[in-house]
Amino acid sequence: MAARLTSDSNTGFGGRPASPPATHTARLGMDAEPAWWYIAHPNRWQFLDGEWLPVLSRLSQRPGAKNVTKDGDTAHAETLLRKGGWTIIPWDAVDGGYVTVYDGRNGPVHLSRWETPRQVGTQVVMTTDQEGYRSFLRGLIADGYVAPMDPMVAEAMIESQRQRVENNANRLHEPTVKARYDRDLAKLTAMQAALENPPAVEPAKRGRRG
Amino acid sequence: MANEVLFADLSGSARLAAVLHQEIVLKLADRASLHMHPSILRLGNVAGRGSSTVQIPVVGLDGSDIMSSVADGSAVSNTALTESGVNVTVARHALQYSISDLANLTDSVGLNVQRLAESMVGSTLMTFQSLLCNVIDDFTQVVGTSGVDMSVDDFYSAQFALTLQSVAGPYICILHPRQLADFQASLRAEAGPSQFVAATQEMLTIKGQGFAGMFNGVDIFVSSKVVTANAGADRAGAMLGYSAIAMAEGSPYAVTGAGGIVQPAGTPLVVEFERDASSALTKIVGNYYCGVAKVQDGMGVSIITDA
Repeated sequence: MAARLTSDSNTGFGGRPASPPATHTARLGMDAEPAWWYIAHPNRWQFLDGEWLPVLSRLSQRPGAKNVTKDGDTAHAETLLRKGGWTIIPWDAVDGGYVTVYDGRNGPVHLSRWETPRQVGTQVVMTTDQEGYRSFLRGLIADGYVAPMDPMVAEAMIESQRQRVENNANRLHEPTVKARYDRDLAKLTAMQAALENPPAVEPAKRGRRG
Repeated sequence: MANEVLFADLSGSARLAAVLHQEIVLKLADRASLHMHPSILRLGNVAGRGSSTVQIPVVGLDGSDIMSSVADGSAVSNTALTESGVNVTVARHALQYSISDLANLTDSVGLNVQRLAESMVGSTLMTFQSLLCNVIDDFTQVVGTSGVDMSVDDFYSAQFALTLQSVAGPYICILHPRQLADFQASLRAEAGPSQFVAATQEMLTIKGQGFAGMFNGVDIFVSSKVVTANAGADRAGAMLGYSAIAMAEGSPYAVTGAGGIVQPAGTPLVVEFERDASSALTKIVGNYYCGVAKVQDGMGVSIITDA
């Protein structure tokens, strides 16, 4: 059979840009991490650089952990978490979602959008956008996803911090303890000030923060 | 001079570019697991029990309720029994290798079908460890400060938090290697009475993977599976009392007429072999059914410190 020549090729063959074979595709050198959602609890707060912010945890779609059933069904786990006072933060609490997925060596790796993995030699190094994450936390409170902190929680944390300060008060002759004491005392003072003068909460604007 | 027998002339025919050492060296990895540790409440095997979920009744008995003062001749009213149920749901975890007959038959170092099957045991134990670390990060009590290295003070704060909750000892502490290193650095700087405590010295001694030492009577374990917190800025280890966490497992029964099955002693793991004769491949498939969940939130405290 005679070869058919096309008008745009005098060889009869059409080429296309090659894509790298699967073995040469860059994949993140981390274990697979299933999808997950941030969860917040009224007891979990932290005092960071002068402001009270929630300490979030995660509900992972990992079967077998925290009552996630086979195939990653989280319905039962969510029910139990809500019974325990937890709030599940939806992905669209921030524009574009807060989870980013990467191709990993053993499957997809779900990370927060504020974590950026970089391959340095044979190691994966993670850089974190802390200010971006804190802005997200502030947004969760302002947008009503996380209820403002109960003053009782703050008082318990202040009491714990006071105990921490007092535990080191008789060891100020040790330079390392003195440094910790000064840092803890400054934090205690700031915690009390922030409790007495809480920052104004902006009106709710759901799903608009990034 | 001519016709010398040189290595270069022999290379590729009578000499090889490299010869294989007669044993393999394990790739660096964390292989320590708290599977079977007595601090984890074991709920047994769900095989033949009618559900993939095991429920633990948590009941306020033996001193949880105290008696009220009642005047002589007066009737006492009923006290409502405090009880709740905690669920642990078992789910499947699996790992598969596929090795060709040519790769298997040319083995000279012990890397073959049998070795891949044996390796499933370690994978099972670390799967459990990963599940465990996924659970301990969300106790509602939290100590530590984001972005600040773990210190002796954080350790004491966690210990005090459990003491305040009347959690009975012994306690165990599970830390990420970063947290352990920071804790050791803090201990190293201790110049007060703590420096003379044998446990302080012991904590600084290099050991194998897993158990890192005991401080204030708390067994400390290190695991790279401890998860991150605060968008990767921190690690979320924990200190907990015994039975704060429960686990359940499931082992499928061997199926009559199926291919080769290996059930390593002491584990619920089932390893099966599947032949693909047309491709001359042997699949080695490990199946492990496990679930891990918190039993009582008050029995643990998450330690969230700089990563």
